[in-house]
Amino acid sequence: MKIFFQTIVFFITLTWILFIIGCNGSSVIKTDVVEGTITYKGVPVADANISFSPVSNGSPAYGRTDSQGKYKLQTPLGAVDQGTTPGEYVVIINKSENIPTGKKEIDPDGKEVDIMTSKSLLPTVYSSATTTPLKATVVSGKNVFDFDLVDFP
Amino acid sequence: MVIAIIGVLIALLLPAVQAAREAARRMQCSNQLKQLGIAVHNFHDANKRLPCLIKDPKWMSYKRLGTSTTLDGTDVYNYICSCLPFLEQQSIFAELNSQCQVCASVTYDRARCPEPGKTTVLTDSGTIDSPFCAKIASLLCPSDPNRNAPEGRTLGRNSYHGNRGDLMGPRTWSETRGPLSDGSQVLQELAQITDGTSNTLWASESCISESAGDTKILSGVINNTPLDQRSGSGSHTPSECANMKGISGDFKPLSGSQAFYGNKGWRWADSRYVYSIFQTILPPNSPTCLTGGGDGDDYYVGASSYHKGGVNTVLCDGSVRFISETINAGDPTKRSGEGQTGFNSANPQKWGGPSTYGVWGAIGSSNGKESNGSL
Repeated sequence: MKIFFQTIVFFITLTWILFIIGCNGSSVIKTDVVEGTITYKGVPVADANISFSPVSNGSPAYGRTDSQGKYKLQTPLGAVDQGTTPGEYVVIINKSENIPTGKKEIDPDGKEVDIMTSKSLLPTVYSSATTTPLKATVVSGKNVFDFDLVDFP
Repeated sequence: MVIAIIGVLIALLLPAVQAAREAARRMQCSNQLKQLGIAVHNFHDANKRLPCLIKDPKWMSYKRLGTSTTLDGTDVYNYICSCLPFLEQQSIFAELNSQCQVCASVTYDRARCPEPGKTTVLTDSGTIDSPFCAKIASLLCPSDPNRNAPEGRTLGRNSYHGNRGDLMGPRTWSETRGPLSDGSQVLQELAQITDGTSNTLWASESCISESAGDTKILSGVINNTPLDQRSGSGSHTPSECANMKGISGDFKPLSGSQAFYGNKGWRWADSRYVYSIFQTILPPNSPTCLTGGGDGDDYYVGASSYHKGGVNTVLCDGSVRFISETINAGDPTKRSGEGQTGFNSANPQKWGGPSTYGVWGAIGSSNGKESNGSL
């Protein structure tokens, strides 16, 4: 009788454990690390945005350079800084700063504020998927892509 | 022995109770969105048009005499202001109208009209609390820990942001990819939502900021992110905002002149993006980025929530959907429409075709010629 009781309790407990654990699967996809350095005329570029836009297969990925010009990519459904999935990509790089246009507006709080626009600090040819000459093919395992940007005539 | 078993069982039960509480809060949240959807439909029945993003004719008729064309006061009253009578908030609506009537009759008197950013209104007999200080419980997601504004004279908050479509851009563009438009240029009816009202979002929840320096992805805001799509000086893509996502729910370290600007959802009446607008570009629970230094600056506000795995939304037909944060959101490394025939690089807002941002973008755009069988 005692063993019967213990067995019942064991199964009730097991049911509860499975019920609470449930089917919470991880939503993070498997990715391959992609990293590298961005330089402009040989000088590392800090705070530049880099995006890998898929041409075939692949998941769109993006990253930003640190003070040494090094970047690590991530993709929306992947883990932070853990790269993207294998495939062919075109590479978009840009870096801009906000500058005042000289025009002002009164915001609804009564403050006068500058209307800003952005100014590119790198050649704009690299800033769009349709004009960039840069390409990359991501493969399984670790990928390193260094890009040196130049002025176009 | 028996006590130990009971103890173990209770320990197992407690997390389930917590989960049930969150399930109840999520259900209350979706119910509130349903009420909002019905309110929009009632507004449409009464006015034969949808409420506007900004410059709703309803409020522009009260515009103060002699004011300039810049945005102030009644210009930015949002769709919630217009829908107040249908949200059981007739008293606030009546108060707003009576104060606006006074303001419209006085030439260039800035002080009289209730402004969404001010906590008081100046009257002939002194100051009174602004109607915008009211806390409207049906606009606050019960799972949001920051739904209550600090005690005292503060502005009421808002969890439910209206859909501006899948286009990053300023609120002053007459073109819109979503059902909310600039009322001085375009008035929309339900009939103009050609993708179908059951395929187009009206509103989603977005987490309210904890403080001005909020560093959490769900509730925080980064400003000074150069995302202006119009300039010829480099084209910017949503991925520049997406890559601010760091580990364990925080942003990555900021760069240059960027700063945290946590005002998200702090005013229910103000139609500037950070208070009551969102876009369907990056998937739910992604970062939010503004172009300039303050709340007058637009660009990208995302949907987010504390419900596990996604956000509650209401569609234009009044139905409520829970959208997963793993929804297909297309390619954030492209501008809206980029690479497609008919894309205009200098005027990206002219794009009228299918969304670049997957199913998420498709349910955000109201006339992108997409069907969304997979939703």
